[in-house]
Amino acid sequence: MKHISRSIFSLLLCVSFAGFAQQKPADTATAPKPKTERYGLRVGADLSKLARSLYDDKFRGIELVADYRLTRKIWFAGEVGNTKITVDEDQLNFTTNGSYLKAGFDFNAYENWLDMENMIYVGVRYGFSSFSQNLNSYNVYDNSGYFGTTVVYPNTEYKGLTAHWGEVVGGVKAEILNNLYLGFSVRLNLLFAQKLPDSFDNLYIPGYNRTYAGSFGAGFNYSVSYFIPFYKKAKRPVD
Amino acid sequence: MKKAFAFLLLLTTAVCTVVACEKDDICAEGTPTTPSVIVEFYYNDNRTVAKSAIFKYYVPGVDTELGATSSVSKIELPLRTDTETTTWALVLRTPIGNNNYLDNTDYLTFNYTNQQIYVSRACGYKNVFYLNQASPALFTDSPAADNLWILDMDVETLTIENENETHIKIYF
Repeated sequence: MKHISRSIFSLLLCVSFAGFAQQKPADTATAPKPKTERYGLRVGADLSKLARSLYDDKFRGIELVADYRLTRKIWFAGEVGNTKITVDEDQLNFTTNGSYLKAGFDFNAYENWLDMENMIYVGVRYGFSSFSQNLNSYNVYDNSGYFGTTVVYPNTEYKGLTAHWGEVVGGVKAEILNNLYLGFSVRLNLLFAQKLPDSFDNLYIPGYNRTYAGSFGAGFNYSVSYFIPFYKKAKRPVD
Repeated sequence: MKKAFAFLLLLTTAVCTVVACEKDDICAEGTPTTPSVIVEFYYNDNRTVAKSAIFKYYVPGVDTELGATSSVSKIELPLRTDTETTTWALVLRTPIGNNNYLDNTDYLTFNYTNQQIYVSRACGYKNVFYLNQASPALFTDSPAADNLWILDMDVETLTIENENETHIKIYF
């Protein structure tokens, strides 16, 4: 059910992009071809985590996003956030609480028309998280089925856990109002290193999300951000 | 720009593949989890020869009775994981014709400590048992006082962590 509502939300947002991306009007009918491009800092927040914090009582998370334009097509980008999530699996129940920081570069592959400032980009990130896990309860797995299930409540807290990973990012950012951007990205994560708890595992890492049997993971974000222009640069011919 | 779209599509597909292909959803059949006690039966006067018989066994207080209708020389006894002692009633069934049996019940009590060890996300934790050094297992006659059919017993190992070896040998 959670997955279905997430997919519908994604679909609606993607459809809204297609509309928005083409809608920003030119200033006048006879506007000359712009000779400058704006450079600056864009800051914002992830809406999907904010929304999930409201409707999912097992999740509390916040993510701030920022990117800074370095060249015509390259942005220095990053995300910082905090997640507290309680995961209820079949055999165990645990709470992960921690912060993360991701930094990297985005490359805008979209050639904007007129003075539009939209992006279709690919990027990379290096991610780091520092977190703790609390093992709330687990079932003792017994194949015999002779006795009832024993549930143990250890309430053990594993502190000082860390993880390092890399991300490959792809996404879009569209300017929907003056200086206001709506963005969506998907991420493929590759776990580099992690500090494991004693007699347990890192089943969820803030920023990396759910871990899988291998060292791959995935994520996405929806962001709304505001662009603060710093300076303008002359637009060089397309290279 | 076409390359960017293609890459974006590829990335989204890769992400969906990672999310959809989670391998560890179910605890696989062969995964070693909480072991039962493996008990083997031997002749008392010839302790290398296995002895088969028809057994019925249960824990007093639990409704389910285990046991086969044919002779076996090895049985598996699960232990409680919520306490540190389990008493099994072992019934030796002697057939006396017409589908009737003469039953003799003895009690086998195990004393141990529990330790849970993490297996995986899907399996959770398994329990291993450490039998008490002083009194790991002892057999007594049942309250019915029908005399002991168990004559002797050897505790082969104090650590019960898998089902690959015999833990208890009973001679009768």
